Parts: sequence; structure tokens; C-alpha cells
Amino acid sequence: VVSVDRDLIEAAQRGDQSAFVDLVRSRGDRFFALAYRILRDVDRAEDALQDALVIAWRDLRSLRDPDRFDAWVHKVLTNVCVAQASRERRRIANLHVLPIDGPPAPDQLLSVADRDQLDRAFRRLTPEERAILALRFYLGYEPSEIADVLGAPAGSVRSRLHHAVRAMRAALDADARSVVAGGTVR
Amino acid sequence: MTDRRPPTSDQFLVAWFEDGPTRMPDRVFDVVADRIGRQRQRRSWRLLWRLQMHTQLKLVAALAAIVVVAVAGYTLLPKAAVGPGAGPKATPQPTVAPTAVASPTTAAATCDTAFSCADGVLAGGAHHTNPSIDFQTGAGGFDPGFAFVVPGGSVGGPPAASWRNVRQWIDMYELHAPSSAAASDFTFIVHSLVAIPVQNDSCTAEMQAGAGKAPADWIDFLTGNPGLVTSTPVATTLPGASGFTISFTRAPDATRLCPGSAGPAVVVMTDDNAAGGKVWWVDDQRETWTILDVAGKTVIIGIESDPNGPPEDVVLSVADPIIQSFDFTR
Repeated sequence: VVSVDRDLIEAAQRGDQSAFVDLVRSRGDRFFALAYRILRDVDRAEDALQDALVIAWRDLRSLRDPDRFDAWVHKVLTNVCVAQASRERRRIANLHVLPIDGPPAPDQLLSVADRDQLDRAFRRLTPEERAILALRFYLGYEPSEIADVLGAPAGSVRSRLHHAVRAMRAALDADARSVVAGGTVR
Repeated sequence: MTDRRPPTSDQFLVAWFEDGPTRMPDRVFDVVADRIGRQRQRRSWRLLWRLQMHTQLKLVAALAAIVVVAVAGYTLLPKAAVGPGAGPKATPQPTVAPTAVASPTTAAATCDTAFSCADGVLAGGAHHTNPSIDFQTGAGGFDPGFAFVVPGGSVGGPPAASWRNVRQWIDMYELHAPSSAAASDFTFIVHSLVAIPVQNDSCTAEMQAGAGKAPADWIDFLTGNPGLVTSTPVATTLPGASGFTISFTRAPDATRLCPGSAGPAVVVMTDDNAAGGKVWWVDDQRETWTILDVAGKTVIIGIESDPNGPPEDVVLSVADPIIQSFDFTR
């Protein structure tokens, strides 16, 4: 956090709304990108980010170290996303996606099918596992940092990370097998 | 952003996460700027104060809070009623009469392309499910289709300030309340192609063999389920449909878990087609279902809300006028 940002954070902590708005303006894209990666839905990512930023504003005075602002908002945002994904998850445990019609170019079909398989596998993960994957592979957090964000033991994070990666890789492998076998991609 | 991502053999995950939007929509910025203007910051000593407060002090503080809320409410109400900037927090007016349902021709203007419905912001007045679009499969729209009326919102403002449709599939139509509603934290989810489920250990889709599909069969299933606490069913009739309305929550002594559930979960719905894979369970939410027979098809108008949030009668005061406007004959 550069000094200008620290000034903004401290001003926001004193109740300066315009300073907080400036902080959102400079960081909103990154926060939104993270929310989308966890929720895979633009509308829900918008809702989650709005809620998280309002919570961040409300609780900003509890942030002792302004240098930790970004990590602290990531924590708030991730937990809002996990809560929202939990609500969504109990609605649709298993989404099914219809096969892609028509015979586009082989490379393109494989690429689309891969993404589809990964998307479906991702939705089958628990909300915490989705957040762990996004923090690890989108933001590059270490397991110990993810543990801090989620308030979970680092060992548990490593275990869940391992499971989630394996599930995603298995989805990709299954897709490759179905293509080789000439089966329908579902 | 500094790239700290690990150079692993899982580069496919890095590449997959790279896909997708990276720019925050301006409307999020607008909503946040508006909401923080109405959200006071917590004092950092609040938690400690709460922990140390004695019971007697709690009573005094509660009385003081009631006085503050009453005074604040008295001060703010006239502004909300007449102020030009009162939009997002204005009390909704769920007073549109069911008889005001416009023809589907009128409503079709809001649903004539995939994106206008996907954006889902609904102007106050009559709407109709899109008969031709299922955003998940690309196949036909919600079956059976229906018309309904929503109160006026803040169309043109942030999406969260208006009634909005966020899902429209052949078997599910989801409608969110505006953030300004008196009880905003609830969702309409209308289901079709449903079946009474069996709860297996992994909570996967499994129909109950031999179970009926009529509303009365659903009522028997819900009221006889030891995992649920249910209200007394009430007979309900809407244009083109009839059935029952019932509310339920998870029973306090429920113990079975589902993967990813918020504590114990009770499976209450699945597809009438096992390949669909839809499983619906109750964990920490309150459900109010209007279970209808529509020309032999079962439709469930579900209202999902937080039992620790606004009381059910407050939620229903907003939701019920909309339910009463549902019309399956159009």
C-alpha cells in the first residue's frame, strides 16, 4: 500500500466517504474479478461485491494496519462469496449442461468442452473449495494466506486444495476420454 | 496485479481462472457509493462493549435503541415519501391489483431477447415468463408459463434496487426482491418438473418410488417428514391453478448432512427426471411453498427467506400480492 493509499484508508477510517469511494475506484476491478472467479456468475458477483464493500466500510475502523487493507477486503469478500455460494449450492446440487450441437473445428470443440467440464466440476465443489482454488490460482495466495482468509487451519486448506485440484483434473481427464471415445460430451 | 501464481503442472487452472470479466461494472460503484452514504461505520470498541455489558445495561441500551430508532424513523419517513433522492430506500408499493395483469403481448416487450431477460430488471407492472428461452439449455422457457405483476422499483438505477429475474430455465424461474423492499432478503423461486425425493447419504437426485405428484401428495410428504417443522397448509386458488400453501424449516433435531450444507439438511425436492440432477434441501433457510396443480403439472412457488431475518408475516406482506397475481391461464 503506497502512502497515498494509506492516507485514503486512514481518511476512510475517520468516516470520509469520498476517500473510501476513491479506494473502491482504484481496486474495484480486482475485487470484482475475484468475486466472479468464486461465483462464476456476473450478477451474483456484483451482489457479493456490493455487500462486501458495504461491510468493509462499516467495519473499516477495526482494521488496525492500513497496509493490510487489500488482504482484509479479500477476506471479507471471500466470506461473502462463500456464504452466497452456499445458498446457491443448496438450490442446484448438480447442474446439467446440454451437449454442444454441430461440429465446429476440433480444437475449438475441445477447448469449449474443456471449459464446460471444468465449469461443471467447479460447481460441484464446496463453496470453500471454490474459494480456495480462486485464491490459489487466480491471486496466487499461499495455503497459509488462504487459511488466514478463511479462518481455517492451514492443514485443512492444503487438504481441501489437494482434493479440489484433483477433482478439476479428473473432470478434464474424463472429458479427454469421452472425446477420444467419440462419446457425447455432457 | 503482481503475478504471484504458482508455476505448477496445474497451468490449466491458471488459464481457466484467467478467463472471465476483470472490470467492475460501473453500477456496482454507484450502488456502493449510495449504500455507504446510508451505512454508519461501527466503532472499533463495539465488540468489546457488547461482551462486557451487563444484563441490566442491555435492557437500558435496548430501550435507548428503541427511542433512537423511533426518532430516526419519524425523522426519515417524510423524506422517504417525498424526497427526490429517496429512490433506493423508498418503501415498495406492492399494491398493484391482480386484475391489472397486462396481456403477454405487453409483457413480451421485456422478454423479447435473451439479454433483456438475463439482465432481468423488471419495471413495475405485468410480466410473462419467456416462452422460448431457457438460459441453461437453450431450449424452451419455463413450463408452464405464467404472467405475474411486480410493484414499481427503481428501473434505470442499480439492478439491486428493482425486482429482477436472474434465472429462467425450463424448470426454474427465479425472481429477486429489490434491496429497498421492506423484507428484501428473500427470493422467489418457481419450480416445475418436480418430484418428491428420497434423502440418500450423498443427497443426490433420487425420486421416491411410487410417490404421487398432486399438491396433496406433497403436503403429506412435507407434514409427515420428521426432519421438518411445518405450518398448517392453507388451500390456495390462482387463475389456472389450485393447491396449498405451507411454510417449513428444518427441525431442530435434524442431524443428516448434505455435502456443503449449512449444518443438517433435509432434502425436499428433486426432478421428475433423475438425469436432471436437481436436489433441493432445507438447511438454514425458511421456505414458504405454494404447491399448485396447473392442468396436471405440479408447480411450486417457493419463497426462501432467513428465519433470523424479517418475520415471515413481513416477508409475506411483500411477497403475497405478487403470488396472488400469478396467472397460469395466459
